[in-house]
Amino acid sequence: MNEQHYVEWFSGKTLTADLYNQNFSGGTSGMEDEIDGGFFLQKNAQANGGSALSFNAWIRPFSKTGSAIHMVMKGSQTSNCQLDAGLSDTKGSQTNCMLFYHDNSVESGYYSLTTAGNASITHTATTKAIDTIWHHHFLEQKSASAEYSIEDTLEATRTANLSQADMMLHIESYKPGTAVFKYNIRFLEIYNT
Amino acid sequence: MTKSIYDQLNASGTVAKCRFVENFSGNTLDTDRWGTQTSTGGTYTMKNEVDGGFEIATGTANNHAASIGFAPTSTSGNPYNTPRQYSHTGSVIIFVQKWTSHVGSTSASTSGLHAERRGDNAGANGCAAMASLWNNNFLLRTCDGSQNQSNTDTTMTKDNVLHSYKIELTSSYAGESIDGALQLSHTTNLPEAKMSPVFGLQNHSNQGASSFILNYVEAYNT
Repeated sequence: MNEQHYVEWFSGKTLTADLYNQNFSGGTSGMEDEIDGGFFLQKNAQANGGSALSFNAWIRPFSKTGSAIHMVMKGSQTSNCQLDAGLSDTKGSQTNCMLFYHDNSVESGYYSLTTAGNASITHTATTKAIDTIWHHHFLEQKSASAEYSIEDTLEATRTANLSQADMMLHIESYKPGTAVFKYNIRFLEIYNT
Repeated sequence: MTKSIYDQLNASGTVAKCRFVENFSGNTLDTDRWGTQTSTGGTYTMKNEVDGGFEIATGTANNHAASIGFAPTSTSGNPYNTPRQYSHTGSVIIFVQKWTSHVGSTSASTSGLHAERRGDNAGANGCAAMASLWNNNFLLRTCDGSQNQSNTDTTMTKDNVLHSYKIELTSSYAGESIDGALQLSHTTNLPEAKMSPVFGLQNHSNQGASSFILNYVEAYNT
């Protein structure tokens, strides 16, 4: 039986608008005019601004006990930046989630696996410092754990504070203050396992 | 077998490059993904036929043109085909195409990668398959950054049959295969800058309108 499966290559004139809920208050987005550039989400100088890409508020087809997400992404800088990307239960919420963080102020600036199960988020750091290189990020939600791999090397596992709700796409680039930064994504795949 | 498309297409530990896939099936063309040239007489139609795909047709007059690409929909000729995400030194484009008009009605056509959205396969930085009333066979044309262009003929006579075309660009040559058989390796006037998919044609007035259908396009960097 084929379970729910979602694939996006982020190439074309623009993003197919009907597929996404986009929120770019204080941010901009678009297809990058560069070889292998994909789609960019930029936070502009507006305080508390950002860019977010999700499905709609309650479109949550991915299982809290068996789902996986692949993302090929990069950040523009390693200071004054924040990205959280993966799966969550509600647009803009991290009450129930499985994410990776690219944030110089989280876990001493290391890529981290972040989860929440009807509670505040908790992080587990990888051994890889955040950088500005394209990476293949893979997150898998299992029944009793969440795992985070970069380039197919397992970097972090969490067994506590796991999502208690089914989830959907969650990509958010946000930070208080006026810092300007950008994230690019050129591949996304989500499926139930 | 893995459920992941990523894992099927990429070796373990590697980071995927840019890819585009279009199946040309549905109600209408996805105009978020594609922009069209709104030219006189030009039409863009999902075909109500088995394997009919999507048809691009010109008007009937001389130099009437029609094209689709990543540039915004516009009437202006030859806009930059942004976003241009495909490499002039390492990329592939595969497409399935059939000419639906008399091929003698076409002055030129563009089926491949180009930095500009245009039906005449001219301009700067392009690598695209082509049919023209001036050539008996299908051919490949490349355009360098200074708008110099050159062609190499395939061994396949123009026809009105569905064919699978594959164009591969490297730093030293452009290769074209039709239905899996390598037709040519072209080494002059190679493109010198980033590009994106373009499909279009430019009409000649002697045989009515020009048209072809597409039912698959896939592009990726290597």
